Amino acid sequence: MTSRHSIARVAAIAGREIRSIGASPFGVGAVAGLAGLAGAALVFDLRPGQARLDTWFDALVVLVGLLAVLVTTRTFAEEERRGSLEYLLTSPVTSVQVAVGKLLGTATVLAVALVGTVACPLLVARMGHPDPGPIITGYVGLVLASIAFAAVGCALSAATSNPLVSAAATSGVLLLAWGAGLIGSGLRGRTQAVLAALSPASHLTGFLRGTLGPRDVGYFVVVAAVGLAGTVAVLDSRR
Amino acid sequence: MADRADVVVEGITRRFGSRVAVADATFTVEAGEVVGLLGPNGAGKTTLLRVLCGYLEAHTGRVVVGGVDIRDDPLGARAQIGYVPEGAALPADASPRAFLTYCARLRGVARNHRRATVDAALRQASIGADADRPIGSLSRGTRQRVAIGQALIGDPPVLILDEPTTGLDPRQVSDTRALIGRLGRRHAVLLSSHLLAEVAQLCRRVVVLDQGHIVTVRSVSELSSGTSSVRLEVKVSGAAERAAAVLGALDGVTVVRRAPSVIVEADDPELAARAATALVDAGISLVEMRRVSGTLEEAYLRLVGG
Repeated sequence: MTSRHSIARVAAIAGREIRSIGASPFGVGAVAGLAGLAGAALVFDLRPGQARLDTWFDALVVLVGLLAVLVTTRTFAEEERRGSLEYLLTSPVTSVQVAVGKLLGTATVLAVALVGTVACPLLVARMGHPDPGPIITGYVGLVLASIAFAAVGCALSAATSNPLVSAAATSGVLLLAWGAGLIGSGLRGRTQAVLAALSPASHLTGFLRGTLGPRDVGYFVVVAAVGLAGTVAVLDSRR
Repeated sequence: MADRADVVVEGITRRFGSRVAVADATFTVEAGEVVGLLGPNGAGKTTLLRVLCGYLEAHTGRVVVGGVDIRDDPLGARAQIGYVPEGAALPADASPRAFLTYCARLRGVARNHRRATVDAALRQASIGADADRPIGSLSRGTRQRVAIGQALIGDPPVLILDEPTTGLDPRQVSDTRALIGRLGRRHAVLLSSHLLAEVAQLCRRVVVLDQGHIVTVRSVSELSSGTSSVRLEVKVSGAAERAAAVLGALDGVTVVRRAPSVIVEADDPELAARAATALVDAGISLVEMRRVSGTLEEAYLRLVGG
């Protein structure tokens, strides 16, 4: 099979995922909901003379995590519950193509949802003079976090045919990773460093300060790769 | 296509934990024939079909589809198969044409051939007028034809159909059976069904599975008549009930039916002579007596202990 055929298959799977989520009432509601909640968070966060939107981005990361949980339940668990996954897994496609296609599709839906929140910093820019650097890098961090969260969600969704179990497991893993940073902040030494390194929150801080550190970028890339590898392993083990 | 269309299943075993779902299954399906897969619920039919189409892997044994060993080249083998899973949901938001186009992309159909391939599958599955409506708005029968249509994308030589007529109304059942019959002329078709009349109508051979084990692989006609006992249909002038009582009193004779004609069965090659004598002795006028074969249903129930 040529790489051109592989890419075509991945694009087909991603396209179907985008259409099935993005064009559904659930998808439209989720995108609109994220934009609405982002706006509400901005109202609570705005202060006179504010130059950065750290607190708003913090709220947005949580909302994106929740959206990733909801969207990824549909990638495998919901499809398996409905039986439609059989059509895909009996087609001449590899587990890698399925995993990459599903991840690309869900990550695109999350990215589109994030585009809907751009109105908030644009509104702030009209009212004042916020520093554009941290806002741009903040969005880069959000996109990377979305891909990583989606990869974790896809792997856990592939492991069950129950969407509720998938949602609970993804929420649990993301909260655990998030909590690692909070727990670590009360500790010292090596344990603190390890827990902080595991937490997405500590790696988003740099983005919100306007930097693109290789360790922070690397963290989300590694989490996405682990999630992707996990999805492939789960799909292969199911056979 | 004929040389490459066969399905060869050799000693397939598939377990789920300690439970053996399919044990040592061996059979073949040739091009141009429809083979029925029969068995009670939980017999392992769907597991076997899923192993054949690559959704599950066999723990032991070998499956060769269209000349391709599924273990050596799983994607190549899957490309040889069109699979219609039982009751699997289709994307409600997509039209049949959009869904079949997606399937064509998954199957690697070249962009310049894709439209013609999809149109051919839509035509073969008789979807024409509904091709551009959302699948969610279609009748169950049409959705089932869409499921069959996706299996036809790329014209795979082997079709695996799991309960394709379940839940359809009589007209839809008739249409779907006619479609399967047509497909069976060119493809190797493995049809799993609970409907014995359907299997008797469409299939040349049957594979009967019970508790994961293949009980028999035989032609439908052999299976229907495959008993050592003799079965007679006896028509008498009136008094069918009395005739049934007379025949039922004979040593080793079982009355299968009492009216309007009497059907009796016994493991005795001389049954006809004994029955005729008994009826004459009882003063009953014999109109006709002929040997009949059993039905597929009777043979099936005998095999699976029903």
